[in-house]
Amino acid sequence: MRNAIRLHGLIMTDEIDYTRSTLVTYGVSDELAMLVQTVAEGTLLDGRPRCAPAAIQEIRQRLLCHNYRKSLFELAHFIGAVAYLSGDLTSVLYLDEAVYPDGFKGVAQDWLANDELPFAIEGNHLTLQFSDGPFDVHFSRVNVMAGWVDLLLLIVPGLLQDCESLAKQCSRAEVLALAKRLQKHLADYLKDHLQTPTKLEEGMFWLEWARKHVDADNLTAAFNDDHVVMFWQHNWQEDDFDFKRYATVARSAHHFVEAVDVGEQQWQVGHAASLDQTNEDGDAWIENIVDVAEPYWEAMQLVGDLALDEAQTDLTEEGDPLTLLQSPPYSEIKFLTAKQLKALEGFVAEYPRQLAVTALRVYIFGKHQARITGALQNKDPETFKRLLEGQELLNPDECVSELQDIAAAISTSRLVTAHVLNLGGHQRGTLLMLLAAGMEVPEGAELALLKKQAEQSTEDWQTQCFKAFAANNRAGFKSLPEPSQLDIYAIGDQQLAKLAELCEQRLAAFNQYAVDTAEQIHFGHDAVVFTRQFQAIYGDRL
Amino acid sequence: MSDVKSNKDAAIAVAYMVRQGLEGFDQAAGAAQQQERPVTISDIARYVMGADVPAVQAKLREDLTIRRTYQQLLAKRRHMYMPMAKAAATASLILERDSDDFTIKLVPAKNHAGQYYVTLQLKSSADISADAELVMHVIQEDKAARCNFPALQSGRCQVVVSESDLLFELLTSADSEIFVY
Repeated sequence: MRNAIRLHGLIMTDEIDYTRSTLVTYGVSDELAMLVQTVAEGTLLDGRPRCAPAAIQEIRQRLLCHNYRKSLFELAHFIGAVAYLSGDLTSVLYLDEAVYPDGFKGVAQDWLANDELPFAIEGNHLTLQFSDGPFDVHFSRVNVMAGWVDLLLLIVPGLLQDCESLAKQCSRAEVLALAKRLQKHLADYLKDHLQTPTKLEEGMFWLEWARKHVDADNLTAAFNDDHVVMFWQHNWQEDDFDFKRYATVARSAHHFVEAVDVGEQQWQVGHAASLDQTNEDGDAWIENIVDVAEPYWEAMQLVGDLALDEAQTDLTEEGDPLTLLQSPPYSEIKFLTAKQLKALEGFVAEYPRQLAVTALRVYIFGKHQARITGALQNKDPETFKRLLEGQELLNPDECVSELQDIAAAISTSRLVTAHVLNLGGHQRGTLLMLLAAGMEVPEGAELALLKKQAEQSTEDWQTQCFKAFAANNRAGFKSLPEPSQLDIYAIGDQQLAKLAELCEQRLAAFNQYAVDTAEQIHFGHDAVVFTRQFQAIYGDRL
Repeated sequence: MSDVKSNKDAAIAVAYMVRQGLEGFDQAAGAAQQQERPVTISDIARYVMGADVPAVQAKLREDLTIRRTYQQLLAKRRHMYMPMAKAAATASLILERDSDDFTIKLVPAKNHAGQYYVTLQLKSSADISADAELVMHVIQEDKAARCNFPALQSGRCQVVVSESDLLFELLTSADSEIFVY
């Protein structure tokens, strides 16, 4: 059974698998994801982001949960207040820095008193005195409101003109009418861009399977790497879901483990008891569309926080090192080649600790499966046959060798970057030199003094840095950069350091995986299991 | 399955759905870097204020919504404005225009045929800082051109424009409006 959205022109068939859009694979359309990303990348006139990552994350979560009615209710009040009290919605939203709390507070403080809509600024919020009661617009929320406005304007381009009608009259009735219009616009749009029911089915499918095959009372602790393989073996033929590729199953298992954790926490704190509540503010036309009830929000908040934590592990820049190095302005400096970055994507994929071996299996067997399907699509029977028999299977020793090459490239790139930073007089250059000299930096130490000491003991290191720089002709290293660019190199080096650490961890894991002992999961056993499974999946092809 | 357990399972299933969805956003965000992005109003606002936003410039003529928003922002946030030069409508080329706050003059460059100096001279009534870097937008129906002037010197700034530029065409047209920031 496939639902209507799945057949909405988004599935193209090939010989083996469905090439799926993000709507089918993740339940979010490419277009919606792109619009949210566009909002996320919006900037103020001075280049600062218009919306903080936390605001974007909240919008994503509320969209995914179909839990945006309260937000739009809040937004309608915000728009009403700005339009009516400032008389110029567009300017406040787009030409001032009112999208941040302090900026908005400053703007609101300049508004003249209004008899029709009295208001007061009290501490961290603006209180609007409607005839039927007050409404507080909290300054900490204006950034999220700005994000919603940006997104809604991309979905409904003429919306701003509609909203400006509130500049003339702004009673509660007008605000509520606007909230309903916003809800309808968004619900109509999301009908084709979010695929809630199927994704719920997939989660339930995982659960039902896990209840049968894993200790039901302790799913979180009991679910392990072998369950992922078993799930794949049991369900690769399942027509309703995309479980043919091991890599897809592994990613899905990762999400399942997190979902179990979040869901159980949610249940334990008692919020799940209210699952059957209806949203008292809901309209019938929205209820027809939405399957997910308001109380899920709490659970989603946990999931969202989890994802946000992942995004903010970097102290200096958000995002994982690979993404960062492939985004401007860092991508303009070729710290690593595209091939090395691509290879690292596989090596550094993060999985929960209990699925650590799954990460290695994805790298070796997921890659092999991709080659098998590639040979099928290219109608190359000889290669296909060879691969299906398990020939050319990458073994952990080869992975170690590949990873060592990349680690060496990272190390060289760090020497080159250190040369640039040192010659530019950047503080990180000094720190790298002290590190090379094996010196510690006590708090409050005079760096210049320490640097002089380090310079004498790191002559060899400096020569290495210089030689590496001289031998490197990649973009960003052909000449020394402007001083204003040095921070980009420093942050780039921080990312390289993180990648080096991840490589080290992966190297240790691959080494352990290569060991052929009876007690542990190991490559020799897996090679047999996976080859057999590939033959089961593809054996009757070509 | 008890109600309690089914509630727990439902919470897990929804958490799974959202986790997948969040990854979908991330995946598509990576892929979206290769795609053409829609123009946002903040892009238009930045363009109005003089930022280099090629996507807005390209879309101004072909997208009515973007053009309307652009004109709306121009109208609301201008520092100085010069309306259509109706009185001089019979002239073929208008090389000088005057408003309460500033004057625009186009003077042919002596050594470069086809090029003109566009000089903006502030009047004493203009409330602009002495070293401001002004941005001028000239619009006429569906056409729009922008010019970023260098910093003012003694209330005056100038740029060179070619006869073939849209900016020249619009500046010398009686039906164009000028907005200065």
